Amino acid sequence: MSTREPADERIALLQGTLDLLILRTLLGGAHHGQGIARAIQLGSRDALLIDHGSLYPALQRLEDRGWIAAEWGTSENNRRARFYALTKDGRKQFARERQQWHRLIAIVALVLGPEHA
Amino acid sequence: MPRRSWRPFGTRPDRDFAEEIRAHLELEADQLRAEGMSQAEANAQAHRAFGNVAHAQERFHESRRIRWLEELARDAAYALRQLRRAPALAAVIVCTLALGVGANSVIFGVVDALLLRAPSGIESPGQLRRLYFKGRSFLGPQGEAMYTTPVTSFATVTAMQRAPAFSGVAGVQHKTFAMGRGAGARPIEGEEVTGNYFEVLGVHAALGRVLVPADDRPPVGAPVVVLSYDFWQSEFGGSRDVIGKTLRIDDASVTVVGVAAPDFDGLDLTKVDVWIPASVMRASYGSRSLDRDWTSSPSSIWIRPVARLAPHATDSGAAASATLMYRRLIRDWRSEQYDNLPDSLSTVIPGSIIASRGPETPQEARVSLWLAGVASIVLLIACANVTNLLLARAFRRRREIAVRLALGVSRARLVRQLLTETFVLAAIATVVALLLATWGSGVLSALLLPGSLHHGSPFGGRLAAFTALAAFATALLAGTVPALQATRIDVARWLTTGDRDSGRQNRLQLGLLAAQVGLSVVLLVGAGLFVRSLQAVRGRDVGIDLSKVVLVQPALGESGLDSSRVRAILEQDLAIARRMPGVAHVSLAQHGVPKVSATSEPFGIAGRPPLPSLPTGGPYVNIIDDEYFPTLGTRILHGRGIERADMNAGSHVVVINEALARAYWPGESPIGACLVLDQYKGCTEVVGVVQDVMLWGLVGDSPGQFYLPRHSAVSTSSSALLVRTAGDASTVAPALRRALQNAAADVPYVDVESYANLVEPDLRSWRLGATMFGIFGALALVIAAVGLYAVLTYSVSQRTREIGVRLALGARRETIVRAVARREFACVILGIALGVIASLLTGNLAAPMLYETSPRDALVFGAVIASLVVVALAASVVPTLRASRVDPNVALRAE
Repeated sequence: MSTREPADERIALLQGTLDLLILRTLLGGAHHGQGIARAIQLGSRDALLIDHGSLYPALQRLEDRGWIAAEWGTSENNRRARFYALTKDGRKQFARERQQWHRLIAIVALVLGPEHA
Repeated sequence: MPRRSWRPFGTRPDRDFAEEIRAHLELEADQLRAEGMSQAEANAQAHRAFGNVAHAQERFHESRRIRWLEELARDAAYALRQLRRAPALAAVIVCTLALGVGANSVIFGVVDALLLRAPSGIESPGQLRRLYFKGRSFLGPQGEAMYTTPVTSFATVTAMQRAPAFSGVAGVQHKTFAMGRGAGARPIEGEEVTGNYFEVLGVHAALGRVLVPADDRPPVGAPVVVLSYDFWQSEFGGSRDVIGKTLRIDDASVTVVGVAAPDFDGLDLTKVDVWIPASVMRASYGSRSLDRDWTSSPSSIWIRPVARLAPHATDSGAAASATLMYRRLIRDWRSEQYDNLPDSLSTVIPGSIIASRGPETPQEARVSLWLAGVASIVLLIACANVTNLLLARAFRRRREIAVRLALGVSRARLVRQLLTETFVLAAIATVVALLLATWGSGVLSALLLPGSLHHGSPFGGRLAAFTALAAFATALLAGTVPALQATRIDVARWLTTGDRDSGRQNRLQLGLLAAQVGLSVVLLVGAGLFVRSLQAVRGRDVGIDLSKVVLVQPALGESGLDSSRVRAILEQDLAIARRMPGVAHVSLAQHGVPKVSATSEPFGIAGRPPLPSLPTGGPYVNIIDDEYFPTLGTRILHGRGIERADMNAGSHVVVINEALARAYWPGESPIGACLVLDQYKGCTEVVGVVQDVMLWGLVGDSPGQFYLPRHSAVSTSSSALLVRTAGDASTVAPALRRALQNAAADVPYVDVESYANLVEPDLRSWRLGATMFGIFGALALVIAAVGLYAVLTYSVSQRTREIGVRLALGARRETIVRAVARREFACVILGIALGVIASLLTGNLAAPMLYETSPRDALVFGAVIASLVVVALAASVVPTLRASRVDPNVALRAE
């Protein structure tokens, strides 16, 4: 996450949500780091502000916990890259985190109340 | 598709991560270019999108390596703060651990020296073997028995050198030599070795050279000697001029050619000052040598072989080939008509170079293993106690733990932190335990292995490693359950209601308390039984006033003196001793009992058929003078002793001991009976009966003994001078030794020893048992008392509120105290009961080591139970007082 340009209207990520987004991205199949970064940006229609660099500690954390696994491979344009894929545990974890996320959204929305109160 | 790869913590290198970042930047730049950017623009944008590369790498690095270290440091600092907050509790835990672990370290030191560690300073000790010879021996009427011996003839050692399974076989014999002559003469410890000894062991010289095969060419060899490094340092101050010096050792004059490497001090635990070629010593004995053809005779059994296995040779292969060779050797000897040959079906067993691991386990090793078992019980008690104390501590901090759990600290993290605290305690305990072990090893090796070297300092690597390992293993064992229990908290319930949930934890504490008490009972009963045995042995009337008699033995046997000179020296010594102040009686006898020597001599009784042999052995004869019985303090039971008038050639009288009288004259008086002895013609009259004098040791039944007066017609081969002192013998002995040493310049040295010292080894096993069980039992008792104190204190502090309520409701303080301590005391009683049962069940194991003491000795059990009850009461004084002083106002308001 970064607070680079105050004028930028993109939203900084909430703590912990990056993990969720990475897991979601990998649900579609293995990706290398750059691919994941691009996919998240694309998925958010460029509305999220992500330092590509901040992706890697998150990837490392997920790998340490055994939710994703990594292997060196070759990209479409023949470059060597480290590919990440979801593990079985990772799939379960994603389901859990997504559910929690939806609950959180609902609770926060409940607390905030109707928009025009 | 990538597989799930299991990566243990921190195995991914930084380099790999750097490469991944580079790949990322390249991929991003590729894509941006494809979207229409120029190469330079694309590169710059890829970097911008990534953010700070160095920062990312740093974070990666930290996450890999530093995190756990930092956490550990933080935990340790936190632990130290916690310990400072409750220093008394920390001190008690450290002491308990240190005592438990220290006791084990001391025993480990001995077990290590005896059973685990190969002798130091030799090359690949794993390939070295001591050779043992196992066969059947014929004991005449008693039948046959199997024997295993490490000693054999020189001829066997020579023959074994040809066995293909060995790359070398050397021989060694330990011996006490006399160094010098006259006033300066003194005993030194040495080894007679074959010339290849150093070569086979792979030992080099620190100075000069070691012995080589050329030094040991029978029959005479080269008169050279190699000194041990320690002897060189202590005797010659480490001077290099020592090479070329001539030493007088027994009857040989030998030249110092070298000093052995500093870490080599022989193959056994006894120290070695010098190594001399075997042929040199054998030749110096000259005409007095019992066996002139010592190189080839199979009946001269004196040397221990040490073999180095040839490369690729196995133990079973070596055993088979050596046995084959040995049996062929015996067959050859048999055809040469030698006497006393070993059993022709003997086997050769290659055993470990560590002497105690040979085919037969020696007494010290057995005792040390026993002690190891006892020490581990102490450690178990300590472990139970530390668990108890940690439980009390953890539960005192439940509120803090609950708050931290509520704040989102993971339970694993908290458990790790609590364990770190325990490990900090263990680290401190390790240091204390090592200090204790330093002191304790000295005490124990003096008790268990007197006269032997204690190899290695207590601060040696192995002992330190063992101590640390034991301390940390105990801490892990003791700390896990409290840490897990303390963090198993229902946070919500705890924070809202302050529920203490103390029942389950308290049951565990009480169980541990009962276990501690029970184990303490077992150890204390052991201590008591050994003390009783020691008392029984000490109280035994052995026919000698041990504390008042000194045995003088001039080293005459191998001094090269003729028999008339020997006699003259003895007469002279007798006169000197008689004049010494503080000497009451002096006697010259053929044998100095106990255990020194004895001559077995059968006799007949006039008018009776040949006598049956005595079940207790003998009869043994001793040739004595008129002062013998007064000197030893032996009581005369019937008739009279030997008198001055008996000491002429015409006298034919004999005094017998009680055992003999009971065996051959049951129910009647032997006085006046007529013995038929080989030495005399005709009748020798029994004139008196004396009490039994121990012969082979303090315990066991006395064999038959009889005494003849010394006079010119009786030839005596060996002689001992006995001196009775007016006061304590040990004060007179040194002066006596000096006087006698100065009087005869041609005697190598004079050995003067009080009887109390002579029988000391006999008392050793009981003294050791009494001391060690006593120390360990006392330790266990202290630890159990601390445990009880801690449990009671905890329980009182837990129930302060309850006590307050009760007091407020009008309960009497005595009732409260009784209620507080009731459960704990029930546990102590249960523990005592279990301990007594366990002691009764295991008592039979100890029975063979006891002397005239029943393993169910009522006095011992009574004393142990009483002392435990007293200690339990003492330990509960403070906590119960605290309970009785609870102020209901304060107690109720505190919540």
